[in-house]
Amino acid sequence: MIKMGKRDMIFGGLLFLICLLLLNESRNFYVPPDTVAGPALWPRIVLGLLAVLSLVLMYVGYKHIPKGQKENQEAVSGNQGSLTKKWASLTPGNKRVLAAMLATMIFLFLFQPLGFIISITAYFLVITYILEPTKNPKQIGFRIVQALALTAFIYMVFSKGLSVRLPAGIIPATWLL
Amino acid sequence: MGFLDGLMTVFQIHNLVLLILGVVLGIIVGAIPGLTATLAISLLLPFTFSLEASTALIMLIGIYVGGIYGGSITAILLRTPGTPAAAATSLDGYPLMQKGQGGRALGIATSASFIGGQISCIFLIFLSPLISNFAIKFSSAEYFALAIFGLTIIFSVSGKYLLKGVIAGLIGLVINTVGFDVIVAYPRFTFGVRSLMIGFPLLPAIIGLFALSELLRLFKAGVDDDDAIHDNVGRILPRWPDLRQLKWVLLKSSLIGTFIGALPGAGANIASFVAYSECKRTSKTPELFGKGIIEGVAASESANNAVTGGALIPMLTLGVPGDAVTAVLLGALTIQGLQPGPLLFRNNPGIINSIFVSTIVGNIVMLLTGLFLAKAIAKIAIMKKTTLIPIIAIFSMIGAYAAESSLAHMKIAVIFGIAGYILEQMDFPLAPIALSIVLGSLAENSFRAALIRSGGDWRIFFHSAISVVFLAIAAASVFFALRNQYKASKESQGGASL
Repeated sequence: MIKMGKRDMIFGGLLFLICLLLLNESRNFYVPPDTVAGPALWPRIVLGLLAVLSLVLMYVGYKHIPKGQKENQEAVSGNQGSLTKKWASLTPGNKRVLAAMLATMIFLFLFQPLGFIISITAYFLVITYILEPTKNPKQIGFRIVQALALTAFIYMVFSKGLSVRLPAGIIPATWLL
Repeated sequence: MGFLDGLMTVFQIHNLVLLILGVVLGIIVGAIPGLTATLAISLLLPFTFSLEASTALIMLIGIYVGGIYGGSITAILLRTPGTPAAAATSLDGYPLMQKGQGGRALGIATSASFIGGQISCIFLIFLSPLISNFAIKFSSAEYFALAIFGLTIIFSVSGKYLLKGVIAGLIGLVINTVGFDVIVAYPRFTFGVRSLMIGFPLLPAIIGLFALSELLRLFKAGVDDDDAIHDNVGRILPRWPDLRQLKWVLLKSSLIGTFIGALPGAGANIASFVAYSECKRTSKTPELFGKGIIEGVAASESANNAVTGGALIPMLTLGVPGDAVTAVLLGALTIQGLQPGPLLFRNNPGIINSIFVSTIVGNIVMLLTGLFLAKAIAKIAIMKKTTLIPIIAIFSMIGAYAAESSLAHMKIAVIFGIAGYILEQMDFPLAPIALSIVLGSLAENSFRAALIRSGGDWRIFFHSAISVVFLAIAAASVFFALRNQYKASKESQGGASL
């Protein structure tokens, strides 16, 4: 478990590196001739300020690490274990968050190829399951009805009502007319 | 006599029905994350082609008024701002909801929207030429000063995590620089990725930051602690003592909203944050902001609805849109064969009076419908978590997709949602990021335009009294915020705040 002070230190360090990377990138920006305020001016001001404050965050984070922990920092970070052990050590809440993130990524990936009907229905069922796992057939049936009703509602509101083009995917587009 | 003609036009049965329909449609569309009043008007514009000019404008104004207000409903109930203009409303509206005072917040938001809208109507009717003349004096230096003034709210919304709040604000400003630079059309920080050329649009970013990050937090909490997100929302009809307590906040924020609305290019998103910031800055209890205080909801909502009247001022008097919605309305006027600008007052007084009256009546309809609908809509907050969370997640993502029918927008919403969740877990406030994304473009573009205009002379920012006043107030806000933080940290002696 990473404590707050250490987390801030790591975040501050990462942020500082990102600032350096972006500042370096801004050197490649096109500068129009005779300009006093090119495209790099504003980002450089903002990134400069952010770099300084990320160093301050690192320093304040370091100050907030309890003394004993500062000495054991490296030992703690080196002892992480395998992926399955890490998963097992997570709280149920964090497991749900990670599972929801993964489900959302898969939904994004499959939204266009599968189409909105299948992907929304499946996504609804998966995240409902992540929230409250069940093996009760009656409850599963009820959730399938809810998922289909929601998909139909979204189709009516967005596609029919607001003329938003939702991807048809593997379902022939003519079926949705 | 002209005003009476306007009244008679609006109260013709078909016009009144279309106005009510417009307000209700506006509220519904505004409440759906990702769908804005601009989108609603753009989508419904083709339906108005066949209508008479005054009838078409009456309906479109109804959508405008309802759409700006509608965003507040989900911002309060679910921390899912229906429109970016309601992002500031969620800062105090949602904490009020968590305290079991969601109904009170909804009632205040509805009344504040109504009052803001009506005050701006008065200005629209009586002071249009005066305000437009003042607004056109705003050059890039004044716009920059206004943006900086708005950005100082970062210091007040960050609470005890001042350093993290400022860092979050700067992250928002960096995010804003990604994509095409509007002055020289150069792609910045895109690293060859084509989808980054458009940058990070405001709407999906706000949906991700506020709605999706909150959903992840609800996932973490799980469904065992309580079944519904909130047990009850309480009384919706606002109480008289609440309204009396808010009278100065409502007046001040409505004036801010009207004025910002009248500035070409500055819309409800900016107005709500500036009014919120100003309300907190002058409050006797600034420490309660962000924790659920009705003043925060009233300031944001009265300002964003006051923009409706304000934005119509330059549109009608100069033919210059005050915000994105009035840009579309301007198109509607042109399609109807009308020429916006000073000649419109002389050549089509009937249309002008219909617009004035429909804005007033539209606000009344919005108040009544809002209070009536709020009771029903508030019930969504007491739905079962297992049903509500997936519905919000899907609506948020489809909402992000819908504005441009773009999968990239949906991805942006998800990225911002995950980043927002992680940052919030590390005690970084999210409001400064949203604020910087809202104000970042205005700040950068006006900053560079001013410098280009002055040939690199930085004194341009201190040439006019308007910009000096804005910059002085901004500097004072920063000074007092830093002083308060210093005092607080001395008192707690090594407290954990960063």
